[in-house]
Amino acid sequence: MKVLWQVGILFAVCFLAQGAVELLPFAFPASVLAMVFVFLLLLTGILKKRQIKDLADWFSQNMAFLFVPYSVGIIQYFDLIRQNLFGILFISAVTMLFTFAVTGWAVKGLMRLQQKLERGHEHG
Amino acid sequence: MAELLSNPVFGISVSIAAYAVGVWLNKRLKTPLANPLLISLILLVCFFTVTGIPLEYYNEGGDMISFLIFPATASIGMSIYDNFDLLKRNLLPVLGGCLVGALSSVGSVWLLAKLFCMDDPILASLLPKSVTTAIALPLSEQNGGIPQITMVAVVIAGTMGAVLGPTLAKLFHIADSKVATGLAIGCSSHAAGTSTAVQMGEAEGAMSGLAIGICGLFTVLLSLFFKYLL
Repeated sequence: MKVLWQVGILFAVCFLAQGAVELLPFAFPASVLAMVFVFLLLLTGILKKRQIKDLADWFSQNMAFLFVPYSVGIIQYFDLIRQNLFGILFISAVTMLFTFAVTGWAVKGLMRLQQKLERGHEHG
Repeated sequence: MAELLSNPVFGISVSIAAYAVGVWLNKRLKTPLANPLLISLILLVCFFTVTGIPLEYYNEGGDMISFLIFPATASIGMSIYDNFDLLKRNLLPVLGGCLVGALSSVGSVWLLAKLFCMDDPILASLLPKSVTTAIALPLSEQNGGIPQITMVAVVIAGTMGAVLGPTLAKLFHIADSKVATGLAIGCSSHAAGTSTAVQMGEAEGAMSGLAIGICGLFTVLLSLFFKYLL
């Protein structure tokens, strides 16, 4: 029964997000808006963590499995992937390294800035 | 036979069976290279090619599993909430780092794809590739991309982060900062990299987990402008 309630609550939030997305003037993924809704509902205390916890934990533990059927559809795109194989592999790998390095350096810089601001605060 | 195979229980049970083998092999081989999703994909592609069972039969059950991606993505909201205190304490590095992460990923993909003269559907498939699958797929579809190609790129980024994360942190001289290491892994290789970050330490894991949601959100906001990039 407990799990049934949790399914009901989470699906209701998804339904609200689906409705809200259809009102938006631009394309926005309903699932991501539902994610924002869940976060905001928890933050404001309208939703309690225990009301969705078991289900949300189950989803996060089994997330990768949910993509299995989708991935099998790759059969239809073998030719297209073969034609662009080098580009897809090269771009995926190089941009991953670039993103990693730039993010890391930016965070280090920002942390120094934050420390400086905090120190300035203490002395000022 | 057709009636039996087009019953949804067929698609659901072969999916679970293939994934179970993937998880088992992953535990056995003890390497992130043995990605359970990748293993089940290879098994199922072989299975359907050999048996000749039409994919439409499989999808009767497969679509039911795929439907669950929607509520599963919604529940990522709970993990952002769980890490909210951590976010508040490191507001500037986390928000700034994730914004830079999202921008550098989308920007570098765009630049390289243009250099390679990639077709628009491929470019649209690659643009959201450094965020978690659940967020990358709808962004790809929305802009005319092919979700399956997006998945290939997402899995490459994730596996690289999971295998090379600690090495890259040393190579780029960020290993001395746990916050920077965690955010760099999370922004460049989402949930797959986070599993490695968790093993590196609690702080790295939490930061990486936070980056999945925040960097994902920034990428969604950036995706509103993808149509001008194509």
